[in-house]
Parts: sequence; C-alpha cells; structure tokens
Amino acid sequence: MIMKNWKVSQDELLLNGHVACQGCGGALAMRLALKALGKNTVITIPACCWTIISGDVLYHALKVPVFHTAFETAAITASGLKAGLRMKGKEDTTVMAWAGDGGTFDIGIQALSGAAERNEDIIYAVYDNEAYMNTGIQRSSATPWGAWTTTTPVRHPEDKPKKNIMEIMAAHGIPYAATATPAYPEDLIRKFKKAKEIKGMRFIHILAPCPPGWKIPSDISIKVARLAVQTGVFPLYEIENGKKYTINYLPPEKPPVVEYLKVQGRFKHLKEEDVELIQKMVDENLNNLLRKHELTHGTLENIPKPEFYK
Amino acid sequence: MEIKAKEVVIKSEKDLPEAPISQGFSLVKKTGTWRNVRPVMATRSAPCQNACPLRVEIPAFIDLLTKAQPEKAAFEILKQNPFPSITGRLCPAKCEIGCNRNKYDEKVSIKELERFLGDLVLEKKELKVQKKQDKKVAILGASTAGMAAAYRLLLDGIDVTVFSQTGVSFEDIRGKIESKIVDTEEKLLKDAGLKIVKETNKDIDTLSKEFDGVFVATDIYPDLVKIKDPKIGSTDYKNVFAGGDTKDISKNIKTGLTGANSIISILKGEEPQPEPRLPRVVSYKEIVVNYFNHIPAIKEIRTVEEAIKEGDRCFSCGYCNSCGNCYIFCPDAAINWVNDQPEFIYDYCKGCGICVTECPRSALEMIPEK
Amino acid sequence: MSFKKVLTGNHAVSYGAMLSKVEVISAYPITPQTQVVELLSELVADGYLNAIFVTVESEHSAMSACIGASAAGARAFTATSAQGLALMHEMLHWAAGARLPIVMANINRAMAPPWSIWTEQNDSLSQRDTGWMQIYVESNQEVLDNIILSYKIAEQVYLPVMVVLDAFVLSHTSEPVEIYDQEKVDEFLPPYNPQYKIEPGNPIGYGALAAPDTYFEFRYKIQRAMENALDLFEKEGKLFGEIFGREYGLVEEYMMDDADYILVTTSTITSTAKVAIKKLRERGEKVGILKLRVVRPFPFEKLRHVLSGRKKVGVIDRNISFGHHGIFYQEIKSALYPMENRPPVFGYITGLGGRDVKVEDIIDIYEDLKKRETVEDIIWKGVKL
Repeated sequence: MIMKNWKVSQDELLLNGHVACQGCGGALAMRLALKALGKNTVITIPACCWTIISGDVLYHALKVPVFHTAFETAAITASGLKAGLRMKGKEDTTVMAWAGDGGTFDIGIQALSGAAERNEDIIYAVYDNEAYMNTGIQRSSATPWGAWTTTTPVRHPEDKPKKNIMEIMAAHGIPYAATATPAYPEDLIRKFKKAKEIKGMRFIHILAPCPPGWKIPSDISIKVARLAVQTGVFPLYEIENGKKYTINYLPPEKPPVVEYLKVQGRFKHLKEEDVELIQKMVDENLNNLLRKHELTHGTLENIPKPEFYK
Repeated sequence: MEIKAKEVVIKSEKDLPEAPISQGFSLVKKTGTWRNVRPVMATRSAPCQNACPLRVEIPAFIDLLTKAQPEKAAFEILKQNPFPSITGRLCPAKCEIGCNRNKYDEKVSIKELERFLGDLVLEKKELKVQKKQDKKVAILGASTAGMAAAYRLLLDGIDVTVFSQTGVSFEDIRGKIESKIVDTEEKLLKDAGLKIVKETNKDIDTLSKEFDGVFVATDIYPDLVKIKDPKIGSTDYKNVFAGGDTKDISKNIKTGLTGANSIISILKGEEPQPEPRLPRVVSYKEIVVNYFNHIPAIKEIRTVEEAIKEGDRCFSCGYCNSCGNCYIFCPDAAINWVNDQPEFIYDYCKGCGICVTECPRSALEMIPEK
Repeated sequence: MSFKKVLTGNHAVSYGAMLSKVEVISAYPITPQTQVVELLSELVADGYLNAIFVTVESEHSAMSACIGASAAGARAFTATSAQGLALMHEMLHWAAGARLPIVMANINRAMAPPWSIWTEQNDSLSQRDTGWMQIYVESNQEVLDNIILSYKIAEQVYLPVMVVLDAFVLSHTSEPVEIYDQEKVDEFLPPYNPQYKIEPGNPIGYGALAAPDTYFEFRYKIQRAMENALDLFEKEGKLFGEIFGREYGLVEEYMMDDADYILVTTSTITSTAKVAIKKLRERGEKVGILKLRVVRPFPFEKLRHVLSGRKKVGVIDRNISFGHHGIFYQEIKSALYPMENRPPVFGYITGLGGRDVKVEDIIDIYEDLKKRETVEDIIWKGVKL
C-alpha cells in the first residue's frame, strides 16, 4: 500500500452517509482526529453542526460512541463521562468533547474554564468555523473582524476581533493546547496523538472551513484553511503547561492576508483600508507568538520551514 | 452492533429502545444522491511526454522509480523507446524544455534519468519475440532509425535483414557514443535474429518485390524514396516506408518505429494509421505548487537513491502517482485506496470537489452527472 | 451492624448516598445544601466511599457531570437548592430524556428575588414537568431511607429521582437516624448495571436528533415508565420495610381511618400537623392527615381511594403557581375530578419564604375548613394582609 504524501492509518472511524455539507472542514477534522485517537474513544457532542452530522436518533455515523449533550456542557459532560468510565475500570479510554466555536468561545466557556482549571483528564476539541453555522451563520465571539454573518450584515460587519481562546486556555496552565487545521492533516493527527498520550486537560483548536458560512465553493475549503495558516491568520502552534510556546510551521514566504480574504464571500465587502487593518492585526498576533516562541526556545531558527507543504 | 447498511423499521413504540439510542448506521443514507458532479480519474498528458517525439510516458516511469522499482521504471521506458541509453545521451531533451517545473524552479533531469535507467537494464533487457511469422522485411540503412524499425519488427516475429552501407549497425552515431552501448544494443537485436548485410547499392524496385516490406532510413539513403505522409512514413511504394533524416535522434527512432508499425499494418492487410494525438496537456497553473518545495535538480545521477531523489521532484503532471491527497482530504471518507489509487465510493461521494482541487497534478477531474 | 447517630437532614442525605455506594458525585455549594457535599467530600477523601467527587463551577455543570457519569454506567449523585436547581433546569430535562437514573437531594428554598434562604416548595415544583420523580420527605430518617429507595426504583425504570427536604427545618435540624448495615443495603440495592451506556467498543449515538416520526414514542415511554414506577414505589417501599423495619408508600395516612376532614400536607408541615391533629382528636374532632410523599409520578388512584367518602379536604401548600392556585391543591383537585362523590377541596397557602407554620396555624386551618360553606381556591394563612 503506497500513499506517497501521507503516513496515516487507513482505518475509518467516520462512517459513510453522514450528512455534513459538501466540503465540510468539521467533518474532515473529525475523520482525521479519530484516525489519531482510535477506537478506545468516547465522544460527547453539544449542540453544533456535529449534532446533525453524527447521525439522527436511529442511525449513527461514527464507529465510536457519542453522547449528545446540551450546548454549554461539552467540557463538563466529558468530565462526567471520564469519571464514570474511571469508576467502571476504563481508565484508559480517551474521552473527547467535540464542540463548535459557539459552544466553546461563548456559551460553553464557563464549563470549559471549570474543566480546564480542574485539569480534567479529557481532550476538548473545538472545530471553529467562526460563527453559529448550524443555526444559519450568526456571529460568535470567534467571528473574525470584518466578517459578514447574518447578524453582522455587510453594512455593519463584525467590528470586534476574534476572541483569543488559546490564550484563555493557556492562562489556565493546562498541560496541552494546540491549534490545527485539516489542511495540515499530519500536523493535526500528530497533535491528537500527542494529546492522547498526555494526562489532564488537553485543548485543540481546529480551524474548520465552512463553505456555506464562509461563502466559498465547497472544493476550496482545504485551500482556504491552508491560506489561513500560510498568511499567518491561523498559525499552527502548541502551548505546553501554559508556558512553553512552540510554533509548528512558518511558511517560507508569507503571502499577504488579502490572499486569504479575497477568496471568501464573507469578506467581499471589505475596503482596502479594512484589509490593511486586518493585515496589521494578523502581523501583531503573529509577532506576539513569535516572541513567545523565542522566549521559550531562545531562538526562532528551530521553527520548521517544512520540506514541502504537508 | 454490527456496522452495516440496515434500515431500521419503526412500526410501534416497541421497536424503539427505552432510551434514545441509535439502532443502525448512517450507511443507509446514500448521500451520493446529493451530487451533480462526480470526480473521476482525468485523461491528461504531461508536457514532457507531449514534447517527446517518442511519447515516452515520463511521469509513469518516474512514478515507478520513486516507488523504488527502478528496473520496472526502465522497462516502462522501453515500451516507447527501445534505446534509452542512446537517447539519454544524444537526444535534445525536448521533454525538459516542456517540463512544468521550469516555471517553478528548474526542470527535472529527465534525460539523465532516462540514461541512468537505460544503462541500468542495458545488459538485462530482452527482446521477447512474438510468434515467428513467415514474413520478411528489408531495412535499408543501419542507422538508429533503421535499428529502431528492426527492433519493432523483430518483436512481432518478422524476419529482418538490415542492409548497411558500412557493414556496422548504428552507422549514424558510431563515434558519438561509447561503442559498448551500441554494441550491446546490436547484440540484443542479433540475438533476436537480425541479419546485417553489407550492401551499398540496392535497388528499391527489386527490394520491394523480394521482401514483404521495406523500410528506408533516409539519413543513410536520402534520395531513394520520397516520403508522402510523414505521420505514417509512406512512400510511392505500397510496402515501402521511410524516415530518419532529422537531427533529433529521438525523432529518428520514432520514424523507425512508425515505419515498422506501418509495415506491420500492411502485412496484416490493414491501412497504416497515424499515432493518435495525446490528451490535453496539463499546464503549469493547474499544478498545486503548495505540495512542492524548491529543490535543486540533480544533474548527474550515479545511484538509484539519487535517481529517486530527482524523480521525487517531478510534478507528475496529469498522472496519478499515489500521493494520496484525494484520500486524506475527503470529508466524506468516500475514497477507498485500492492498488495505490483512489477508488471513489459514488454511493456516498457528495461531489464537493476537494479531491480534484487538492490533486497537485490535475490527475482528477469533475464531470457532470447524467 | 446498624447504629444510630444524631444527624442533620443534610448529613442524612450524605449517609444515604454513602450507603447507596454512589460512584460519582458532582455538586456546587448553595445554602442550605452545603453540608451535604461537605460531608460527602470528607467521606470520599477519607475512603469511606469509593467515588469521584467533581467539584464543578455551577449547578448546571453539576447535573451535566452526573449525566455524563450516569451515561457511562456509574451511579451518580448531586444535591442542590433553589437557584441552583433552577440553573439545572435544562439538564434535568436532559437526565430524564436520556433515561438516566440519577438521584439528587433538593433542599427546598424560596426563589429570589428578594433573596431568601428559607424553605418553600416553588423551586422543586417548578421542575415537576422535567420527567424527574419527586419524593417529599418529613424526617431525617426518611431522608436517608429515601435516597436508597430512590436508586432502587430509578434504576429499574431509568428515570431520575429528586428527594426533596425542607431548608433548615430538616436540613439543619438534628435527629437520631439509623444508619444501616452496608451488607443489608447492598442486598436491597444491587450494583447499577444499565442496559444502555456509553462505553468504548459500543458505537452508539445517544440522544441524537429525533424527527417527529420517533420523538413522540420516546415521550410515551417516559410516561409509561412513570406509571410503572407507581407500582414500584409500593412494592419496593414494602420490601424496604421488611429489610429495614420502615415501610414507605406513595402517601402516608395519619389518623385517617374514621376521619371526616382530611388535611393534605407535605414535608415537615406534616410533623407540625400531626401534633395539631393529636390535640384536635383529644377534642373529639374527626380529622386526619394525608401526607403526600410521591408527587411524581402522581398517585391518582391512591388519592381517590383514600379520599373517597370524606366530608372535606383541605390542602396545605407551601408553594403557589402565580395566577393559579397552590400546586398540590390543583393536582389533588384534578385527581378527584373523575369521582362521582368527590369531597369538596379547599386550598390553603402558608409558610412561603420559610415563614413558620405553627401547631396553632394548623388548628386554625382545620377550624376554617370545618366551618367554611363554599369552596375557596386560595385561603391565605399567615400572610400579613
């Protein structure tokens, strides 16, 4: 069996017939995450697109069990599941909360903070499509500055920058927090594998493009996620114990952020000065991150400039 | 619970469990019905192959090479080009001029790869003769073109006599290349039954009657016949074909092969056909360059490892080389990986098109559903 | 060997949970429930109880943690009160809908604003349609016994139970309580081994979207389970009596045999009423008490049976459904409605916000009931008008 670019398990724990939209980044993220986590995993899903994707009350779409829970309870339901499984002698089972950005950045942040502070032994993965997509593209605190949503119309687009959830999680001092995107599958799989081996609270922030919500053709959702990384809009990095920052990828040449914005309908209304402002915000964020990497490692030289894109 | 596509029938509350627990699997939902376009393997050609007179399927042999099968790769070349050790040294390498990688960093050293692989099997290759036929063909002129024609005819079990002005084979390139190479090629042909006869004055009228077919190497005999249709190498004589007077050794080989093919056709009583055009060529802008990195070419290849390293630089334009991008990026897990290739599960493929967009080499395409 | 210990109602809850061998406890502090979880955390930390205590950041999370644990097949327990219970509301529906036999203690406390920490039943009665069974208890012994009994019933019908006790009057009042021999409790309450659970290797979706073609049936099943629980309360309550010497039913009848007038009570008002009734009996009044214990499922048949042939029924509510009447009053009226010769029912509202209900108040209520000619839906007792 030869697959030149990817050394991944060909076990599929995501079943055919799930009902995600065409080109769903969140569906792909789950498929890849489960390749890393394997069968000894149970998942809890709060209200989000994945409530629908994982199947209806009759037909299940994953080869691992899913307990559906209320919008704001992903982190704590996972903690409860973990406690229950521990009492039943299943200490080694990975318990994952799998929530959208609304369920994480907004309504679920209290339970998430509680679980993080208690260092619950769970993986919390947020597939962030930057708005309430399941209810029809309303803004969340994960919606980036300038974006159109149905509650931030083009005449009054989103005027607050995206909430920095990674810094919030880092401030809890949890053992592991990482960003990932399905456009970089091996990085994503590596991070889930790494998370699986760590005890305590693990947080993985996945940028998951949403073709209907971002107003992009379904076939470019990977391309857009890749551009998010390459332009520095969504850097790939890890934070260990809230202190140790490691950037996992720096593109050899950083394209301007407009490359990322211009392919998405949700940014179509932006003027040149808006794009400049976004570029400034992105640069500032990335520079902050670079400084933290340097503080951790004493150098920027060890940031991989990948042999090729993957 | 066994994971299969089984419909759950609810006729009364007794068919449901007490708690809201799933009873079956999503496999029953044929999400392929959402689709109005479907991904398929595309029929495209690489610019290198298109530029090569011999139409050597360059991405195919490089693919085999990079899958660590160098000998198979060499035999892949031999399907189109009987003398890679010769072309690998003497051909003008139009393939490299056409190479899409020129627009990225620098061309892949295709000619050098061909030479390396040609040399790798120079002494190992066999000319596997088909069933002997009771047909004899004369080749006038023992140049590379003539030898190529001889090679092709011998393969079909035809009795071949080459009339050489100098009495040696590869008359046109002797002295331009290590004699060991041409000697080895000659031995291969002779072992397959080739006769080389020294003859300077041969009358085409007589020959065309004495033999079932004749090929005239026009680099040796420029004025003997006039070529009517270069696509098949035809002349005024029905069973005489000609070619070989270009400065491009590959083109010469090609004319030899074309002439031989035309002779084989008429021996079967068929009309000689020109070679079909190649499918649409993949342009540079269709290559997803994100999947590649700037790596300098290896210009002189000495080891298999170096060959593979250089082969890895190939974009493999239009040719699936088992990179696996389509598989890894499918949000619907609707691609099986079978024999190192994608196999689309059309029952569930929703037609999002990610596989096609992320194919770095344009080896896939979307076609409308009927 | 069983032994007696002087315990507050809250500590009786903790010992009840300990004897029930709960496996996961999750709770958030709220007056007047705090002692429940304080003692439980000690029992866990000291190794008397092999359980995991999840110290969450809200009641909503406390219930969610119990839901997760119960879904994984563990016996889960929590305790709360008033605002905390209200915050749990969404997850109460979740626990019942997912058919998870969680048991919780709710210490009845009045809802804010204005702030109050004293007893009233509006907090638990606001949750009566969530699919939880509800038991209102009168003494600390009844508290402990009913925690154990609740698990026994809950785990057979896959529905959660709320054991409800009065703030301070019970929660912070000490009484001698018998703590049973663990082996005997184990005999009565076997380990929890559910039919459905989240465990690795069992690929199920639990609680996913149900279209209108299936949702209805799941709701029908909850109602059927509630109905089955009515029989179980009597059966298991009797068995409990055989093993531990204290029998429990859906209701408790006190001096009702020949009574013409019945006062319907719940929780600790019952104890006060019992003293009052003794005094009234000494005067020759034919009055008895019907203590409502199990409120969900509602014991319609039982009520019709025990109230038939009585002259008058007075229902004492420490709660009110604003814009309607006392809640138990409504429910008892609706239970009696199909009877041909139903007694007239009078509604008394008293003791809201923890206002003391004294023996004299009960005597006043009885006298009012006896002399009143026409039915009144709301008769305010003890309010400064």
